[in-house]
Amino acid sequence: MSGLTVFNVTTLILDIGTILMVLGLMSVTDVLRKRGRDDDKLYFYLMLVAMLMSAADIISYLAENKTFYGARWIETFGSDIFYMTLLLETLIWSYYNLARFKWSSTGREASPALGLFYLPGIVLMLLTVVNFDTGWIFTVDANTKFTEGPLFVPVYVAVAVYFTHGFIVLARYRKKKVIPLWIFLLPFIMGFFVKFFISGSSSVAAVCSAITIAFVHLGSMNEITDISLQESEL
Amino acid sequence: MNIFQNLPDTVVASIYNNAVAIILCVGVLAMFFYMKGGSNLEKKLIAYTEFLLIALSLSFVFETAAREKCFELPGIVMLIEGSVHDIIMNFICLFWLLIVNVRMYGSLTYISRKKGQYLGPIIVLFVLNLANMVFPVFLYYGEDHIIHFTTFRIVQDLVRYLYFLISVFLLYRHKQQGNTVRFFNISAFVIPVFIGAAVQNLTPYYIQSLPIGIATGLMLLFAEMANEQSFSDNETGFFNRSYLNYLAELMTKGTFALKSAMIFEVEDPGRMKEFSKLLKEQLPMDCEPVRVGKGKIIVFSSVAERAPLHMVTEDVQMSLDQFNEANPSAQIGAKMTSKLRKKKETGEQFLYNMIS
Repeated sequence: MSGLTVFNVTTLILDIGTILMVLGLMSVTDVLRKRGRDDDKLYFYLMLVAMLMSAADIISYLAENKTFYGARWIETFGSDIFYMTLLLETLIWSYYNLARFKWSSTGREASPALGLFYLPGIVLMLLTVVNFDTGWIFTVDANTKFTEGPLFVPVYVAVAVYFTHGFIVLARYRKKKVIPLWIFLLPFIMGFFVKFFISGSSSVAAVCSAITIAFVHLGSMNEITDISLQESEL
Repeated sequence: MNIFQNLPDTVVASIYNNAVAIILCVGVLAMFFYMKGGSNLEKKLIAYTEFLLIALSLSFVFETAAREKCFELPGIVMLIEGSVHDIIMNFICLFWLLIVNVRMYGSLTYISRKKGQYLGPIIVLFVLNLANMVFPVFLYYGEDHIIHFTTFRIVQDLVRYLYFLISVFLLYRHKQQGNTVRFFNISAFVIPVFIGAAVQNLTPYYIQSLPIGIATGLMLLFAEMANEQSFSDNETGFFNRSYLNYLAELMTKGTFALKSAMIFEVEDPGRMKEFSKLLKEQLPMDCEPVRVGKGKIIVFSSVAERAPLHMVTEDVQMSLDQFNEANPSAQIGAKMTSKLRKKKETGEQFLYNMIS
């Protein structure tokens, strides 16, 4: 562990902790996944992508500021996967909330306009694939120093837009009695605070995603246990 | 911009780690508050553990800041804080044992019969921790103005680990005796806690991953509890129709062998709540009562003989008769029968025939 700072170790621990937390969540949501509903599948993808995000963060951290052969390639690869999964996570989050909370109560389904709404996010995701050559989102130099590219800010804007969209859908269509909204703001506030005011660590994105999706699951389960739903079952 | 730039990195990392644990605790507590149904005792125990964990996380941040000399307080204050930290940790272990007991027996009856055995060590440690404020038992305030541990503190750590091991052993023994504990995967709590403890002690900088481990374990426990609630009927406390799919899956996995069933049909579904109370008192622990209709409960069992089933239905009939005698103006009418699975019938077929 020599050469690692306290923040490196914290990041690694939190990333590994996130993967373990999501594995635990996968185990306890196994029962629901077998229902085979679209929102159950989307929830599984949310968990899977949160794990990938953590894994990508670990890969890029292992090579950051290192000079061994291939370090530059490893860091670029890890960061590419990280930004791709970050965008994907918020896209799925937005779509999941529509499927889980809006469409299940209104009976409506996806419209072509929604495709247009998701198009910028999908394009940015595809750009992360070619980022190694173009450097539009970020570049990593021979000393594995990370530099932001011209599309770095638009990536975070897209992430913020899709997260907010999912949050608004959740706020509008959830059962107010059983899902408190303010707890979804806590991880977001913490993530924002840590990323921009404390360590600048990207690990916080994966940690906060895992916490948020855990809260979504617990809230959804509170909805299922609501007595009015059970009465309609008999 | 780092707003904590004047603080040492270890303190900032401690704030970051413990903030994650606190957010997990606050979220689970909020969901508890909004959760309908469930065992109140179990909810209370988990909620108290969450509060203790929040206190523990704050104490970790305080200790790290003190060790890094971010502030200096009188020795007695530091000793009190250190002792309180240990007391909180011990109580978390005790509460965990109580939670396991409530999951196994539905109450604290078992543990209350063996108070000395299970509460004794924690009470002794509690007294020693109080004594520590004036006499160094586990901690002392060094000349370098920070808290140091005595070698005797290892005993306290061992007692904590022992509580975790005892809880695993008790659950194992309970299952060995043929009892089922559904929706309680002990490893969902124990594994994150042990990983958290190991990482905290084995990695450099003493990064506090234990609170995150405990918070994750409690969150997964709550998720299991919510799973159980989604299969519970709020009026009777028995399982609901959704549970039948789960039961069929258990049979496919081979973890439940369905061999017989008792059917209870209440004439007036409005009296279901009172009838279910009578039924609960007579049912053995290893059966699966499911409310399959407004006035119908089927109790699935792995017993393959008719005699024990008759005994249960007769006991239920007797307590129902007693209830009706005591309440002549509010009598409950109920019909009860029992059925054994035929030799050529599979568990799944038997289940389907019972509910169709």
